[in-house]
Amino acid sequence: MPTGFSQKQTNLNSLHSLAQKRLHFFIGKGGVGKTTVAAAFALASAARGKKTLLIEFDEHAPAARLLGLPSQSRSLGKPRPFSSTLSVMATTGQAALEEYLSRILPFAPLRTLMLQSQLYQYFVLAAPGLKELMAMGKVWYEARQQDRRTTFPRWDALIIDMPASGHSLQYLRMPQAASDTFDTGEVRRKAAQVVQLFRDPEQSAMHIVSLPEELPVEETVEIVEQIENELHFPLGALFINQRRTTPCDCATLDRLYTASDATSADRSLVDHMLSVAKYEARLTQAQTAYVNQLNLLALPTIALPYCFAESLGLLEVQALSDSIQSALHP
Amino acid sequence: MTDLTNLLTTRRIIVCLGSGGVGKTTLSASLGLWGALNGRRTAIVTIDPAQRLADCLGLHDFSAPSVTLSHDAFLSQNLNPSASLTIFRVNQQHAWDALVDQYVPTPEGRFRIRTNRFYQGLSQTFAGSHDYIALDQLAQLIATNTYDLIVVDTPPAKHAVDFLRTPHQLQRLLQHSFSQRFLHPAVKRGWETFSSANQLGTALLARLEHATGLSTLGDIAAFFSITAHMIEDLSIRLTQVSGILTSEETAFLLVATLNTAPIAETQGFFADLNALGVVPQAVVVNRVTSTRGTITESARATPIGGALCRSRVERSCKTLRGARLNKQQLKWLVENFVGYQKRICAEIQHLEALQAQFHSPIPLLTIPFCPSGPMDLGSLARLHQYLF
Repeated sequence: MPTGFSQKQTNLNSLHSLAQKRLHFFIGKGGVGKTTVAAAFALASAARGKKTLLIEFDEHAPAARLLGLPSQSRSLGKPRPFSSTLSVMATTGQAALEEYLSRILPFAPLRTLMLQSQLYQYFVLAAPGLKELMAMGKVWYEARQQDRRTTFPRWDALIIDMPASGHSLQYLRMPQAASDTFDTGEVRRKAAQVVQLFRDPEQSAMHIVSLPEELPVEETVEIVEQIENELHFPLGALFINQRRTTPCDCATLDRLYTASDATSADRSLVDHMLSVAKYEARLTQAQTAYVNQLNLLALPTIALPYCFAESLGLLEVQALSDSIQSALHP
Repeated sequence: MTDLTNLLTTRRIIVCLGSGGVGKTTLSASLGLWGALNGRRTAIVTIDPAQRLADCLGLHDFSAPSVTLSHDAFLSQNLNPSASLTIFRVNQQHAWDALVDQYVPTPEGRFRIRTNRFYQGLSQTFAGSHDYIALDQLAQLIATNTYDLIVVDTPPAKHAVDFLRTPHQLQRLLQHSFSQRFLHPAVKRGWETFSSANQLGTALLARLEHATGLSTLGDIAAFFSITAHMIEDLSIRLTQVSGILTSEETAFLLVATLNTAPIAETQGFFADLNALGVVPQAVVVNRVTSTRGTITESARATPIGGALCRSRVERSCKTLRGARLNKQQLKWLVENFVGYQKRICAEIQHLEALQAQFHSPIPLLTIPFCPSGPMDLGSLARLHQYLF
């Protein structure tokens, strides 16, 4: 018991210190609910009064839609206010690159000429990694923004919903790759600064989102390995999504089949109810084995309950956000 | 004959499309296994499969580019295939290096390519290069004519259609007048020649050079000048593959889950597919809550019409009093059951909405959720009951 208690205490302490960081990257295999968890984390951060920016790399802006913001075609790269403390920004590597070029080529007609030139198209196609690099550069740029009036940082917290894991790591790898690849120039200098910020354990944390299932657990172990040993970024918390709980185990439920004194009309309903309960109990049991595997990673952990919704929306994200808040600030 | 049976016996190439995490690799493996069990000499082309899946396919040796499963591997699972099953595991670095070895005759040339930073980036770091290489491997595989059935597990992508855009993208890249100029002997001296030929371009490039470090562009020029033949052949093969992918030889299978993707997103996806001229021949919906078979069957399997009032469930639950359950447990039994009913109803609605995306009816198959996933060939074979 004492060991269990101190582990729990360590978990609480490290979760609490994680919450103080400024840059929160969310990484995970496709389909684990990364966008949902990132959006919930952003809501939790904003609810504590932090000026929060949620960044996503998808022109379809799924996170913004999840929060119920209307779709807007011309808003790539621009923060859109959701509440007094939360803004959401969708961008893509392409949009970030064009934005960057607009800063180094401020003369608009010339810029248009270049963006429309075949050479530029070719350049972008031939060096696809540049787009990933620019996307990471945009995160760095937003992190450095200051409020014009107060000169305080514009954002207290930046929540970054990364692309699915294989791609995430490619995004994260790019700044280092660029500062190794490019000999001279602005990009090399910027890339080095980006790497420095992302590697700073005082400021950044790479959170992993996973499911208690075979393949996501396997991939989580790999991601953690790569982030720690290859990319050298500071690891954050592990979010175990869709964790089921059942207060009855399979054996208890089996006994219930004979315990009912239902008449025949209710009998089939009771049996059906019990078989559904058993289905859930079996899933919970299967999940427990994977949760145990994830625990071996020894990361501060937040388990998020499985919740069924006909369609996922603000209400459900808000509920998850509450779970995250009570885990971070008990 | 069911729809998938028909597809897998009449088409030569099956391409599994779907966004990340929906179970494409698992499904490809299961389909390929069915092919071998049913007398089709089968190849599965997969990119970086998860370790466990690789294990259950017998891909323990990661250095081997392909593995043909031994008869013993099948026998131990009580499976008796009537044709071979070969798994090709695409390793992008190896594949690029093999291309270079094949096309660049001198050791000096190879050394220059391997140390070229643009090449290193292209083959290792840059996103999208595994798409080129997967398509090229597919082209080579088709050319050998040794397989009756080739199942392609598309690379992980944010959007399911990214893989299909690759041939267009690469052709665009390679057929560009600019890259043509790179390939032209006159510009073998490199980038400078090109930029001085274009006065306006020079001004802009100077700016771009300063901003990005133009030596990379010089590397691009050097890369193209050494690998002209390789790129030309690659381009030809990709054009051929692109033709085969849009022909009657190929069937596309859409793999999806019902995980609450807004309908708008799905619509965008179908618009993208239409724009590429691709019509999926079947949809496999993974991770459904309980039922098996097609949409109509799962509708029929809905317990008690799907609309079950809570009070009736609560009343039935009271008959369990003899079991000494606590209040919390009793409450859970009710909530769990009511939630389950809702879930089934919602899944049926989602399936119908998915079905409505197609102009003509399309076979829709469902696979029930299982957290452990397939662990061996036997469990991959057990998925066939839901598919065939």
